[in-house]
Amino acid sequence: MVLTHVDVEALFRENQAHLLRYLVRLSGNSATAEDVLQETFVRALERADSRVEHTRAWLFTVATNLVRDRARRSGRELSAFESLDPPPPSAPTPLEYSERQELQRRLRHALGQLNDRERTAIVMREEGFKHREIAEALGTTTGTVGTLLARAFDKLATLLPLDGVGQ
Amino acid sequence: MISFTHPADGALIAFLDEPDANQPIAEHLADCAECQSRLEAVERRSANLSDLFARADAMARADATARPAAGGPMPRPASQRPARRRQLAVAAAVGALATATWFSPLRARITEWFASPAPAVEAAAGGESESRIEFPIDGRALRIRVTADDAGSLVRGTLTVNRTDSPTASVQIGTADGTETIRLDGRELAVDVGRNPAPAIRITLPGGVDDVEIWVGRAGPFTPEWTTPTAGETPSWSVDLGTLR
Repeated sequence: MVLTHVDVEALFRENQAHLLRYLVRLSGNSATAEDVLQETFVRALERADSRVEHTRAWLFTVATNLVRDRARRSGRELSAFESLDPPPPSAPTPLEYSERQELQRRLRHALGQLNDRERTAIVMREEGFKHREIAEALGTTTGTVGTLLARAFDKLATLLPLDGVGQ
Repeated sequence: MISFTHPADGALIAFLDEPDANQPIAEHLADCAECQSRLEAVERRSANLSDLFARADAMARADATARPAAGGPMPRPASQRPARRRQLAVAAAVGALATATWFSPLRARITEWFASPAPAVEAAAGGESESRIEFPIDGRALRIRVTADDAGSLVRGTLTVNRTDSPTASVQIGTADGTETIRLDGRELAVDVGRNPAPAIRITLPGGVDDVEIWVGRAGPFTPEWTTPTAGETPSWSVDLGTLR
């Protein structure tokens, strides 16, 4: 389809919450996610009046590439990202707050142990994308996506309670 | 008879995600107990990871309503983020009106969601905490600022509404003397809710909206309320801010 400005607006309206969640998971940093979200929107606007297939997947692919570009530019692997979003300073925290912080920290840490492509694959899958769409975003084949996902699950299972029942 | 060699875990994940597109694996699984067991393990991992993500997301949303108390960690203002300034400049160059109308509330909402929160907002003596209700899509915004007294209870609140697209919208604010209804006419309004042991807010938007998210909070320790009406629901909500003391 040929994207118009109105289409871009609608596309963003429908996807911004999911896209933000995806970017937070992918980058491990809410400020980065916020910035990339806005940059993605700008890029999408720049593409208005041009032909785009599978618009939602395209939008996420643009966002994915922006995160990867940032990581490349800053000369670091995203796996170092855990330190970018430190927990808040210590405070008189109730137990529940400590638990939620711990879960978020563990998730960030675990995702940070994946390489760029594994993390992109696992987070895009979590957003409901098909393997074909993930493959397009990563510039690879669906077979490789399966391999990346399997490897990602193996790594995550060593860090998170993924193998138990009803955890 | 097993139809081919055991599929790799990646192929099992592909089957799990898109069974119709992986018929040979389905045929293999029908005859291979070992791979059925492996598939169950993959499925379990997938479900558990989704569950962890969902729990973390729910926590992030709940945390978002817990604004930092005075002296606590506050999110950096947008203007202090170089990358964002640069992007805003780019956005301005693009010249899309939608950019201008979206970014401000969107940014505010994002900040609300992901700001490092204090565990519970205990307003310090003389401090302030702010709660916010956002209509993030089209620039409509409604904000509540509350000021805590020395004991940490709510002294007064200011409700600010700025809508330009629905002159018949109304907002009701519960006060100690009853419920006051304010009819919006597109102007910005500021309302003093007075000392109120159990404030509540009701918002009615006859024009209809697609996506509204509401955060509320109050001075002192509180349990955040979080409501996200889905598209098509009657756009009217009541929010109980709870007992203040």
